[in-house]
Amino acid sequence: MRTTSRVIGATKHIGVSRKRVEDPLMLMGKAKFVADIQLDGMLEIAFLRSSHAHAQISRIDLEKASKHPGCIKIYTSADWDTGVTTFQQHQGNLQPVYMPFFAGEKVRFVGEIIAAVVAPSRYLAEDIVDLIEVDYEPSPVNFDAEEAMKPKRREEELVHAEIPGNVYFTDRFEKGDVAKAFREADVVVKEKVEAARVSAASMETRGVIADWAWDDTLTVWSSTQMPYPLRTHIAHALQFPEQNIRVIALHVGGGFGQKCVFYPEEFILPWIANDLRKPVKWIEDRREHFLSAAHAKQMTMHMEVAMKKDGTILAMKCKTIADTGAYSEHPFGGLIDPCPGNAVLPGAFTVQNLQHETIAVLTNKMGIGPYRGTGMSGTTFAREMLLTKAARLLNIDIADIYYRNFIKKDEFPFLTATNQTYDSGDYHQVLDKLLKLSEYRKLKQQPRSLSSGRLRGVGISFFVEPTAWGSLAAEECGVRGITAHDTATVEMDPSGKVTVRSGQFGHGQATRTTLAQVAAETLGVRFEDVRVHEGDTDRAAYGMGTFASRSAVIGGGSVMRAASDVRKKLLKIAAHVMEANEADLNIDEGVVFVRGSPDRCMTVAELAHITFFDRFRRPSTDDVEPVLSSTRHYDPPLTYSNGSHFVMIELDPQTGEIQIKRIIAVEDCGTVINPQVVEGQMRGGISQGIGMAMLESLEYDKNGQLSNASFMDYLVPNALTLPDIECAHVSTPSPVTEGGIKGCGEAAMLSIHCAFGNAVADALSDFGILVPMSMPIGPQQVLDLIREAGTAKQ
Amino acid sequence: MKPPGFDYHRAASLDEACELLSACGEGAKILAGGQSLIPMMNFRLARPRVLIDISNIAEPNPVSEEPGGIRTRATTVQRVVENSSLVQEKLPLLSYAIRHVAHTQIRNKGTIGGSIANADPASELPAMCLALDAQFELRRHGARRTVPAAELFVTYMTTSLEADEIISSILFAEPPKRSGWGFHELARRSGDYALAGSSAVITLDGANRCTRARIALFGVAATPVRAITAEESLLGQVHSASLVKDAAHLVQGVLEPESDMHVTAAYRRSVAEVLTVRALDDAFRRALAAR
Repeated sequence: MRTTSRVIGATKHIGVSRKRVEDPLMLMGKAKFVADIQLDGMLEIAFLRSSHAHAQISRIDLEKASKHPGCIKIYTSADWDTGVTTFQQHQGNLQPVYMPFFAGEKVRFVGEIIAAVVAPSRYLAEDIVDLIEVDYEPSPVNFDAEEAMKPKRREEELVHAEIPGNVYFTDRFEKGDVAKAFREADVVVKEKVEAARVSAASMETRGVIADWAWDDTLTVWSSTQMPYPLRTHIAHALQFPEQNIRVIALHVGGGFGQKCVFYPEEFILPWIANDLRKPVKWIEDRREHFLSAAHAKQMTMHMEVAMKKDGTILAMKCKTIADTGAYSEHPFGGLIDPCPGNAVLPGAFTVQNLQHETIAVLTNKMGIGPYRGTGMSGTTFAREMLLTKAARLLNIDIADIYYRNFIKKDEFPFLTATNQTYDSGDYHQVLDKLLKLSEYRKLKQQPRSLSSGRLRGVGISFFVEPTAWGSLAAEECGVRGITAHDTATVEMDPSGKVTVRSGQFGHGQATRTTLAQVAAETLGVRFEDVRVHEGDTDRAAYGMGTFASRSAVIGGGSVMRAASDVRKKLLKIAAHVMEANEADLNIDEGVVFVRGSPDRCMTVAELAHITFFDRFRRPSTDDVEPVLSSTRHYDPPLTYSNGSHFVMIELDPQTGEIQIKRIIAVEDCGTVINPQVVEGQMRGGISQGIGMAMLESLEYDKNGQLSNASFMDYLVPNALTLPDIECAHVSTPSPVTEGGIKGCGEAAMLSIHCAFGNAVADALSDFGILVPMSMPIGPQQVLDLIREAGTAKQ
Repeated sequence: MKPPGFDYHRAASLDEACELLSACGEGAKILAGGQSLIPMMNFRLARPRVLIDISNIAEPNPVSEEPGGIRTRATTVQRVVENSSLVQEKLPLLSYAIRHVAHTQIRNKGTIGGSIANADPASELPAMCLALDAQFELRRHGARRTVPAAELFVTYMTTSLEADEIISSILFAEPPKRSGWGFHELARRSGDYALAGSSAVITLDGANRCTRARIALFGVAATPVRAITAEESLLGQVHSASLVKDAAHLVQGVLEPESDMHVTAAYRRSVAEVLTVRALDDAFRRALAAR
């Protein structure tokens, strides 16, 4: 046995800010996005999209268009009259909503696909689209959710004739004695709170390439977050054998939930490629993106909170009306906003009396899909703005309302008023840390008015985030129809290097880095010796993909399980080869050694080589199969992260302009695999949350036209909107997940906008009790609030 | 978002551009920095038949001093004017205002003449032409004329340029000695078109009385506007808070703002007045400090 000299150190991979292995390609501009893929003979597709929000189509005339010399073929519903129906399993009274891939007799929102034009270039394809003539017979537009719910005189006024009242799902929940709690309350706050319709607006728009080959295989490139489920759905829609389909999402320039929707284009392109036997490409332009990539978060909440004088929250009521657009986007549908939204109403608090109601309404707008934080952004905003107002009415700081109502660290596991089981946390410690870092108490003592004439305001917010979307998590968040377990395969090759095949798929989350860290830690090999495959159904393992703060927990857990199996197999072989007791062996940095006598050692590479090729040294294959791989599944229980945000603003009371001066975030997501990656999630989420809080709103007019379908008018935060974001951590590992890992991706969008709203109320406190009850909070909204105070005083 | 087909000519000189513009007739458009035209074409909202590209014309003296002011060639990119030491010294208001035009990358492509000819009422440069008494030299095939700023801006995105005319240069007047300036705008984000903006140039005599005033606003009407009544109310007066407040109130007479998805017309009215107070205060303060 050869001895190698080395240092046996406790090389920990988990908890280390490893540089992201994804970055070099991105930084060198060598990462491949869908638009970068070029295939021989590839044709391009442009879509004719409806210019009406709600109309019967009486005629589609392709004559002029098909005579254009560049026209290869035009497809409409006459060619392929199929679609998808809401993915419905065990979901209460949900009525399925059918979504055709091509609109047939009726269009239901501006941007809906009517025809697909195939041409040698996108330029020509768009010229040909211009030549298609469509006659529309407009119907009244269902513009406002609460209006859409009112009785209609004629069937064609409904978004879908088969769904009366435009309501396709309702739910009602009550726990405790809500009526009694409201009777006994010292203060009741009741408000209508509105969250705007927003778009995740990722840098890379959607895009699909489909290529059929003569061995009857279909390769599909798509900018998606869920390559495997997309493969399954394409196979189903096209009646094409699933084993012959390969879906590839090489790099994806942002998803944020918007790309875990299966869109008509993802079926139309493969179908056309199959029909034409030519590769076809479609890259969504920004206008199409705003019109037809899932929107999010538009909800109206009628909320009430009952409080005692001392700040104790006695009960909450919330009626949540979600404006979910014309179709229930596949697979989560519009329920992805109101259901999780209502489920997280209790937040970090012990309150046990709670009533909520969910109404999902169809309107003539683009459908709603998931977007970071989903509808939880809206209900947390409602709750926090009501608490902000209650705090002022009771003359108690909101921090003290938090402390009074917090679940204590020795009360876990804790069953909340909405029947979510919180696993762990130390909320007091997290809030203590935030208040100390921000000097919140001191700032609150100082005058609001600055010498510049501006008003300074400080705000905080505390969140509990449900993470690890597996099947149980989805159910605890009110979405019962989803089965979302995942698998991972860990393989060691003859040279002792490790390949991880994951069902997760990172598009910014650095799963290639963090899953390699988990595998290296579990196996005891070097980080550099692990490679992670994801995003390609011919290379990765079947999984649901990356969304809903699930990948660290589910990806990490499944890799941990599989790597642990491989480690056991390797040690069994090592024990035989090294003539040692298996229990005495350990692996560190790619070296197997006997505990206590580190000079008795062999490298993992030597052992792997022996396993594969040396039949004289390895154990009998009857005893131990020479296979160093394992595939494992993981569908974890829900685990809950928590954290807190601080925002300091300066507000100009004459113009309503707000500048953000400081943002601090404290996060407890259990075991941290890679602090830098977690902080990336914190900062990214905060940026998007601030966009939602102060800038973003998709504005439909009464005719159902989207007024701001470009980055000129749909305002996302830019580098100058935000200060540097300060991050801090607390770690209470989860007792219920593999490795104690909790998710963290959506956290900020359950909280930062609330801290911002709280800061606005604080800055305006000299004018009276002024609390914003709608997002976004722009200069107009600020001046309106001040004006209201002026009117109230007169 | 791909433009329909068009013909393309690259002009080697302004003379050639004028010739082409005259020869191509209707449907021909000048392409300078392309920062507004190209997106409009991609949205198929503008469908020029012919583009005459003047972005490669290298003219001598992009920014030069002459009696009465600073002349900039229309084809000069905004960033060059912004960073010109001559402009920074003689026309600090212009340099400061240009910094509010979108972002550096856009100012590296967008030209002075292009922004003026585009005549977006919310953009900074047209208003600066009013505040700085600009004169435009216009050219067409075989002819040229000079037009003062007050006569160029007709309405929303429309100028008094003839279809075959090109702006060739702009002469910005240098304010007299003992002048000061102020510029304030409000946008949703840094780099966005202003929701409303106001600028002022104030000149004082030895007794600190105002002898000359310019107030130009943008984003508050179909064109940039000069508030002449407000200007006149300042003449012969020394700075005081009430003087500035009353003068700023007089700008209301020239405002015809509209509501949009960001703010209401009433908001624009109220904020235009606030920004005018700030611009005037800054202008008086700088004029008092000037020699």
